[in-house]
Amino acid sequence: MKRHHTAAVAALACTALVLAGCGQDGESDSASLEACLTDPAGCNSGERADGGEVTWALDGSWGTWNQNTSEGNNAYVSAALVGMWPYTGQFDPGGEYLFNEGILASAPELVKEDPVTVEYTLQDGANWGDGTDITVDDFIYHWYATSGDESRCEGCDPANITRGSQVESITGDGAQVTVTYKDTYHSAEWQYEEILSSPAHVAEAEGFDWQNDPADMKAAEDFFSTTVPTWSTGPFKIDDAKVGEHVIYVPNDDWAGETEVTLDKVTFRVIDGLENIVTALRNGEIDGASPFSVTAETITQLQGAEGLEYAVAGGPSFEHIDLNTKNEFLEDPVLRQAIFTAIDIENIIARTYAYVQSDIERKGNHLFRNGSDYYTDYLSATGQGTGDVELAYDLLEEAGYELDAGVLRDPDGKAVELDFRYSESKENRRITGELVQANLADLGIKVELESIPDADLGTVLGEGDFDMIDFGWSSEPTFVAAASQYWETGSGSNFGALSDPDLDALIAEVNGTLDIDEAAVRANAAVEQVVQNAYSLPIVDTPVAVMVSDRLVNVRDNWASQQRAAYNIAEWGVAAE
Amino acid sequence: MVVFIIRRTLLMIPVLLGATILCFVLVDAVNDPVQDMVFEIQQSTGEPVPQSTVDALEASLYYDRSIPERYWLWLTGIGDTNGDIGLLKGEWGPSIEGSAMDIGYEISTRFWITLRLVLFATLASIGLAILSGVVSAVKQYSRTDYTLTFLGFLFLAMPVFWLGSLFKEGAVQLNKLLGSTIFQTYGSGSTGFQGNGWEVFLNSIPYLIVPTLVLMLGGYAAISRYQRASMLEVMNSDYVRLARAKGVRNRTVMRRHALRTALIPVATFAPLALSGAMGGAMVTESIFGWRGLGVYSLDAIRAGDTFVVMAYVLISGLVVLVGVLISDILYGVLDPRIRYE
Repeated sequence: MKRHHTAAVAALACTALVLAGCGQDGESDSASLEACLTDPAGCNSGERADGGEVTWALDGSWGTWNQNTSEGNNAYVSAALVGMWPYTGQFDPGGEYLFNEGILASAPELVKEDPVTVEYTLQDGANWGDGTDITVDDFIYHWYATSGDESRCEGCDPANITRGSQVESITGDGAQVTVTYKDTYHSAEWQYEEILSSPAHVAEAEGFDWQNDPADMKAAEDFFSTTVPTWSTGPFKIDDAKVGEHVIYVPNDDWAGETEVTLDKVTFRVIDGLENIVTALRNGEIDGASPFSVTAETITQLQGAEGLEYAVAGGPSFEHIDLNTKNEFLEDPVLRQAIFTAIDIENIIARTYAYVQSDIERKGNHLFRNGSDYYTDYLSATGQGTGDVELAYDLLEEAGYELDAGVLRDPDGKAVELDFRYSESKENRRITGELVQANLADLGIKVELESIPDADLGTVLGEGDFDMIDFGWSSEPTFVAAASQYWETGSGSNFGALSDPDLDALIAEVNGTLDIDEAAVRANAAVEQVVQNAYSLPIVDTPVAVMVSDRLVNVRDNWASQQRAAYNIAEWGVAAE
Repeated sequence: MVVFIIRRTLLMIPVLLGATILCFVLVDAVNDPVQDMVFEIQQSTGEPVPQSTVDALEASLYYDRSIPERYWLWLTGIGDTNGDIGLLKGEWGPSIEGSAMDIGYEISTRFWITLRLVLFATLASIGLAILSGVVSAVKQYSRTDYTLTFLGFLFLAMPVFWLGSLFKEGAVQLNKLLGSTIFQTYGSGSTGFQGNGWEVFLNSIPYLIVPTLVLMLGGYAAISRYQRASMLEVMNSDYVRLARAKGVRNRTVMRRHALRTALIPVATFAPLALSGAMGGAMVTESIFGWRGLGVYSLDAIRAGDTFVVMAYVLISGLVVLVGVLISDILYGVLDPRIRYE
């Protein structure tokens, strides 16, 4: 893939991607996963033999083939379709953005700032794998599908309209496609916007007049949701598939990319449960997996397995504790500050995540990973997360709180009692709750632990049915929209209902520049304001594992991509003898 | 007999309706899958989900209707629908998993996957139960009887998830020892394998061995005790004593006189065991990755996928009721003392 060096990305220093454990003692060169510690984007690399087959396990399933839709916005369908989907590009494990060499000849170019106008140059021969070239119509099809505009797609349910709703027009001239945005679009992440999804010519061949009839546009989207894609813009094309179960790929001879594909067959199959994945891997039924969870038992099993390599590192989401400002006690910022100060994050980490990733680090910024060029630790200086009960009590005493026979009473004399909620299947979150309970008991606050059935987490958050809660957010390298989503007044994802006009103003500024460095500076200002509000306390980037047969090369985990280890599937191969 | 069957069949309808209403209310009242889907999208995209998308999701899953209306639409399909719901019209309703997930297709394919698993396991467990039950009865209070009784209770007492995990690990170690992949630990066949029924069966053998053993050992003990008690009762009956007194050889007495009668309870229990196993194989299916009805329902219950749960309740309920009916009919056929009027 073409490597596009850009300062716009939250590029990570190598030490940020620390690996807690690596298999195959003694190997430390780039031919092993152990090298990911110093070379996250080049570790486990090697010469590939011609031919070979790979079976890769996914630890979750999917129910649609169309990633535009709300039901298709799923990390597993994203991974399963990685061989054929027309992604604009991918972040690699080093935080560098790689444009899709099979579609774009060069990085998109900002040709005008007001209104924002971006020019894309298609790769020579970029096609859908069925003899039809990619054209401007395909760009327009994707725009309509994700516009959220009933006059373009009637009844559609796109997962994301942030970009689609801001497009003013799309024009094309051969290999040049120009996207003009509305005056209100000022995203510093303009070059990472997704531009394609499904082939317009296939929709037309199926009889959908998608350009002129919004109902037909919806029907075309439904068609792509239920139809196994036979087209491909990637290095592979689908040979056989069953929704939610498996996808079998063979090489796509029409791929316009330059990377040589060596594998004859790649199979993605769903295996539920971490234990089942590890057993199947040890039994030779699969060649690898990068599941979204890892346990100490898994590590023990992998340590004793022959012919396997594994690595554990911070994954694509981060853990954090949020407070509900609608709670009668927690509406007081002083109490929130005291609670966060009394919580001992290092102790929580030592008793949970450190068991699977021994050198895991506390997270000091909600939007940027430790080691990112944009990372600034705004938490340590405030005392939040230090477990300093005395400091916490001093804050409270100054604000009129009293400790009465071991019970903290607010200035009105009410005993402070709170609940702490967590997903029932997440053992680490339960332990976190117990430790928070113990920390706050020292402060005289009674905390009741209440688990949430996994499927109800969204409901509990949406209804604000919590006082304190531990859950995860995405920690992908893009950040422009995140601040607004998490913390802006009235945002559907601002579950604890924080409302701070100063913070809202800072968030608005993040979206008001096309310069990624400037956007990052503004995003950090928003993080600092959130920390002052004592609203959300980040803990760690949640550890995940990649486990691979040692007969494979160029397979490594990638926290920065939804596809995880499959982000560079064209480069996968069986090691040459 | 015909009247009996018709009467029992008609009685199934209110039973099934009652079960579906109860389940629908239970599942629907405690879940809001749309809100959970919205949260997952927010987590995934890192951006807010537009209200128009939330509205469209609710409309597509019928969560913009009341619970009674949703149930009515699920049952009849009569009303304002998207054409994908209504049992009477052959539509099972939409799944929250996605529009490519056809509940009717999933139920029909997964039914056969589960049947393939439990049929062999049930037949094997009944065979083993008959054998051990008869041996235990014939050698009552001997060392053999005590050993078989101990083993039976041991397997009965072992949790299926534990026994399954133990056997899986054993299979992995055995594969290593033999340098082969005779035993597969996950799935019901090679990924993407297609063929006729016989070819599918042959392909599934490496995947069938371990879970069949687990289900067989977990299920045979109870039937074995039935068989032992039944055999002892028959062996002490007058007509067996008479046969012996007439000088008939012991083996002939056992085979022709005692065993035939003693098999009646087990023979009538078999359809019940099979239908029960169809609905209760979810633990074994989960451990061994058989994507059958059990796993499908378990995932649906966890996710609050109401229409999938309803389909499962209907199918498993029907299977159990049919099993009970066949069992009742077999009583009449095998035991001349029972007559249906």
